[in-house]
Amino acid sequence: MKNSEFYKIINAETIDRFAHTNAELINGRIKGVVTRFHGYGGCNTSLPIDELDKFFAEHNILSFYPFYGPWAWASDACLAMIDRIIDVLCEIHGLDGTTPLVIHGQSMGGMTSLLYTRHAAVCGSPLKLVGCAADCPVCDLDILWKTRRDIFSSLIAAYGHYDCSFDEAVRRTNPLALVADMPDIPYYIVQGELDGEFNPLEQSGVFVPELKKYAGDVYYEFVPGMAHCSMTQEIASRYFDFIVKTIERNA
Amino acid sequence: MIFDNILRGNIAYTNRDLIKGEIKGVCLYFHAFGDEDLIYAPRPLENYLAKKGILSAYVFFDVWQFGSDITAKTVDAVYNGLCEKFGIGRNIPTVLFGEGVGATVALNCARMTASIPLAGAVLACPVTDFRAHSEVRGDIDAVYFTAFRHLDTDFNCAVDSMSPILHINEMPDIPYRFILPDKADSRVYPDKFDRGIVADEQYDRYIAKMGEHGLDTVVETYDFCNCPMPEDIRQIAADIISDMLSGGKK
Repeated sequence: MKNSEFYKIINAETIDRFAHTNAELINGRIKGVVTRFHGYGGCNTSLPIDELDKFFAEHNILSFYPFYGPWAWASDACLAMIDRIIDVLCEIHGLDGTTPLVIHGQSMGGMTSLLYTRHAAVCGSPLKLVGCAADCPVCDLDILWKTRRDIFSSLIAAYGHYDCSFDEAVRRTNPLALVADMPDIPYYIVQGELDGEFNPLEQSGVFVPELKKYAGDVYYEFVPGMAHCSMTQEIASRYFDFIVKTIERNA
Repeated sequence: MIFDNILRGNIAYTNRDLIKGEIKGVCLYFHAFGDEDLIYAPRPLENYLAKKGILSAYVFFDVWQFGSDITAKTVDAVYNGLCEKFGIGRNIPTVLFGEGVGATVALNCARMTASIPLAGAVLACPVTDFRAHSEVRGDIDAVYFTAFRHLDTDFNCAVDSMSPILHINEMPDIPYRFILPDKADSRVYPDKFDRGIVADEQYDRYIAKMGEHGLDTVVETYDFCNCPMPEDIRQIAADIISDMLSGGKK
């Protein structure tokens, strides 16, 4: 899909229309790449350079935020778009299979992190997949849409082009249903106890024990009192250090 | 198959519970960018239409789908689901009503959903020329990408395949009522506060082409800048919808 005529609209000249990066801040050799997958309902196509961009740039890590849309839900087309962006970034910056890649995202973007990690492991990546970090990820899409009345319509939009039933589309895109395909790489998953978006015990609370059957290095930080995607500075520091150290270990 | 049994989930808000007696008409409503929160209670529009015996369905679609074929299929499935659920016969007329990108959805649904018995369309500030829109808003390409990335063609062909101005000859012969701002849309055209430019680039050119194809168009302008439209202007639209569904009879 990523090599189709349609996806070629994303190229070295147009990349800024389809993703935000911190490339302009990096001096010297790029040591690694990290994704920034956004959550449900929001997609900022005019994102300014922010503190996280600067933080990663200080470590010579290229970060990118793909504009995959507010209701993307990690569809096959969404994952193909990310594939294409990575291909173009490799072309622009001369990156290859020796460049480490850590996948990071929040909420729906956390689900995208898990599914893109699986996708990169199963289908291959031009970069070296070395880690996955997810902040309050959706881990069981089936439970989510059945317990939140605003989700169904967004899934219809995301998977409307699939040639299968709705239930099958959800199964194909549900991290919990696909956990056996997750690669054995380091994971850092943060989850707040007081998540108002979903019941964490039904999401990462079920997914992480399953993930541990297939990956030997899974760190799960369940934070008492924390709301959805609201890491304190101390927790965020540990979380983003994981990303930096995982890249530096593999650079 | 994705669209089978679509009413199993929350895909539209309807005012059915507010209607006393039989359903005399249907209004499929499509919201604007910036108004995409799902609704769970009636607004003045839904209350007003219910009093007229008009079933209103606020369809929950992705504004980043920009009137794609996926949205049209969703609307078709919602309409057919509502017909089955509420016993609406094919003799009951339907009006499409959209604001902003929702008006674009209405135009593309009029073109792509053959099963809906249309009595007309009410359109406020539709985006009608996708290429021209992209020239003034470079950030819209990411939206087009998301909307059309499932299509098996190149990007520009995909955009053209959904751009209303290139498909006027495929539009059904129904009344089209445009409600347009008499001020520039400062959000769509942040650097252009000239009503003439806006009219020339998006609205007037499209409406003139509809006229060339013999389609029935009426344009009304009011004192607002962009969509979502102010409630008093939306009330004017509600009256137009009611007239259309009663065959022009008050």
